[in-house]
Amino acid sequence: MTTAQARYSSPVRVAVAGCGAVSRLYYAPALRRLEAAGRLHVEGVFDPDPKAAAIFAKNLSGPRTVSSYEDLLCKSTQLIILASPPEFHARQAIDALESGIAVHCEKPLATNVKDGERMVEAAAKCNRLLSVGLMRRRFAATRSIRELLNSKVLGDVTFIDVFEGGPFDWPVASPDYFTRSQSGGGVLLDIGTHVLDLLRWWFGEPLSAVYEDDSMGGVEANCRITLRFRDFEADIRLSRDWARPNRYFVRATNGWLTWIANDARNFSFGLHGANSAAEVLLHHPVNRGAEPTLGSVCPDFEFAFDSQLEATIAALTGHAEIVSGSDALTTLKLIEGCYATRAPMSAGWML
Amino acid sequence: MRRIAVLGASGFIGNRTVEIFQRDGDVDVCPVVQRPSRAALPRRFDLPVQIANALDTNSLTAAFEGCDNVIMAIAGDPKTIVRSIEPVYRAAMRSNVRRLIYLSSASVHGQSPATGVDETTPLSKRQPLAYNSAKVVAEQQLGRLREIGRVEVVILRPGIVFGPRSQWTGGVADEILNGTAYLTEGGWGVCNSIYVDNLVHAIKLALVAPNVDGKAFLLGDAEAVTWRDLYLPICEALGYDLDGLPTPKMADAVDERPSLAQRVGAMNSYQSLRWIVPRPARAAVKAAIREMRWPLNTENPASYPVTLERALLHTSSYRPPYARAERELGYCPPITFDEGCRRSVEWLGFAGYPIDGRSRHA
Repeated sequence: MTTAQARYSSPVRVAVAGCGAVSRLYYAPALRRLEAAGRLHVEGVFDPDPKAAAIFAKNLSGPRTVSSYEDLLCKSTQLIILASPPEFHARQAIDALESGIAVHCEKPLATNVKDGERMVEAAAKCNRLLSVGLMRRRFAATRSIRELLNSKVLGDVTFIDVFEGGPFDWPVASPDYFTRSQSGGGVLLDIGTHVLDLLRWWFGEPLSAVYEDDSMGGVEANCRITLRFRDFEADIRLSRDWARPNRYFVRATNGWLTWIANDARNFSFGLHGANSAAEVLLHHPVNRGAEPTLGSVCPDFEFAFDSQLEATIAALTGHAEIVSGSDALTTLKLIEGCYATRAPMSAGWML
Repeated sequence: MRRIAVLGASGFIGNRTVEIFQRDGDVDVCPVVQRPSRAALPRRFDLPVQIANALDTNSLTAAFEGCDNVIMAIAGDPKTIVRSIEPVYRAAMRSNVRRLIYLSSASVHGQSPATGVDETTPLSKRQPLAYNSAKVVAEQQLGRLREIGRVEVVILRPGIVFGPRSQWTGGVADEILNGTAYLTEGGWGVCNSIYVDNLVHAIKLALVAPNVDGKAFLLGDAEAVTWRDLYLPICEALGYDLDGLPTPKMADAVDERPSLAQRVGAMNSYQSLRWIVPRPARAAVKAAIREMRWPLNTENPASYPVTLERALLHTSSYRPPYARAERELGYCPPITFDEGCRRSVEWLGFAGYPIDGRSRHA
């Protein structure tokens, strides 16, 4: 056992900054389960709203709630989960990293590339971990799709079509959420961060992007991105406005594949010309005797948060598959490039 | 510049009102929504958005502060329609609002009004559909409040409001695509249509027209059209044959299937719950919403159940006139029905529907 491994063999001491919706709905249950499993211990919680902090802390094993973010930066803390509004990510992450504390930052990494670069530089300079909450990479479905595409069973990809979104109903605290200063953008920086990260992970870096949105002085509720990869294009339509089936469609030379956004363990695929197609429910493989067989069904959406935090904890001691700050920064650069070359969406009925 | 609060700015009529006011730039518009998450559409503009509960006079009063007019464009169930009237009126009074424009509905006269109906026809609270009765009660409450209050009231009664984000456009497209669309008796009945921009035009006129306090105005498009005319461009855009839609008989009408408004309400409830209920429960809610759809059965249209609401609408034979609006508001619909349909189809494409045979998956 290395010194580092010995250091983290006991529960990792964690602090949480920001007790809004994502913390309350997703991080809290994951932290509870990981605490129960002895993987971590939440020792401090901060939110500018003390009531929100108290509610969040209530179901964990007695973390102290503190009245300022700086109070979280004590020596004993090993990892800070940043789930505060994106405008605070850079300052809070850099303060933590410079205090010798690893950071797991909820997406988006930052509201602009400059801040993101400062965060990545601080992590490198302080030799501390900076991971980013792009949890879709933890889904069994997205991992299997990646493997299937890389295996070329479906042939070479020729076209990708993505629609994601619907009427916005995430329980934000204030309409100020819909401002560039607080959130860095609209639907592109919100859902788009997930979508572009996933497409980059599946297909590599796009060669170019063409972008349009419906912002009229505020932040966009609808946008369209056309990503040009070496051999194909991806047409991506994101919305906070009107619902269409939330579906990723991949057409390839031998077949096709569809994935419903956020479905952690199902997808469908078929071969061109075949008279049947497969709807896949993913299981963990197990070996019984000499042959592999189906074990338990893969975990659902919520457990991606557990898995993500497990990976971050593992990465504290050595190698683990996380989304690093520099990886997330590449997506942020793509998004900022989109905003920089923005064209208005065609909307003749608006006249 | 006059300051105008749009209460219900995230709904499709309220949203379009904000868009047109911003486009024209002749008023200072103040969008008011029920909760912060509903600010996504108004926040496309660089506009402050107020949060207010339509049942809470205090939050409404704060939202209306400094406003000369209030446009009440909130959607809701029959109970909310009725219960929101008094808080909104009292808040308008406290905020010294001069005139309140209330978006009622032509359905206060029923889905299939009798020949000769106009604004002078007495309204009945006892209607087969709760929505209609609620709108009647709401109008009557406003009348009583006006008698004791200072805020002027103008009531608008649009018919079938279609256009971008309307359930009569996007909702019908969804029904066509999922196989649940139908036209009772072939859809040859009169459709009392009004393109949403024409309604907003009427709202603008109602804000400033003299001597209209306390009056109600029926509103519609210039053209007399049928339900087939409304569905045809949507079917064509999606690559469907209008004559392939089921055409059940009026006699098949049952009032068991949830109305479009109920299904939208259910979907909205689901949307608001989806983040806070456990995933298995969400799946159950989704399944329940799916169950609200009837299976397509074109081979035996007679067995196809239709709602009373739709059956009455599809077989209506009379279109109430908008002569009073023409005379007293100066209303003349600026957008033709055909142009409204063209813009609606254009919006379907914007919203991601596979229009003009262009499958997104082609």
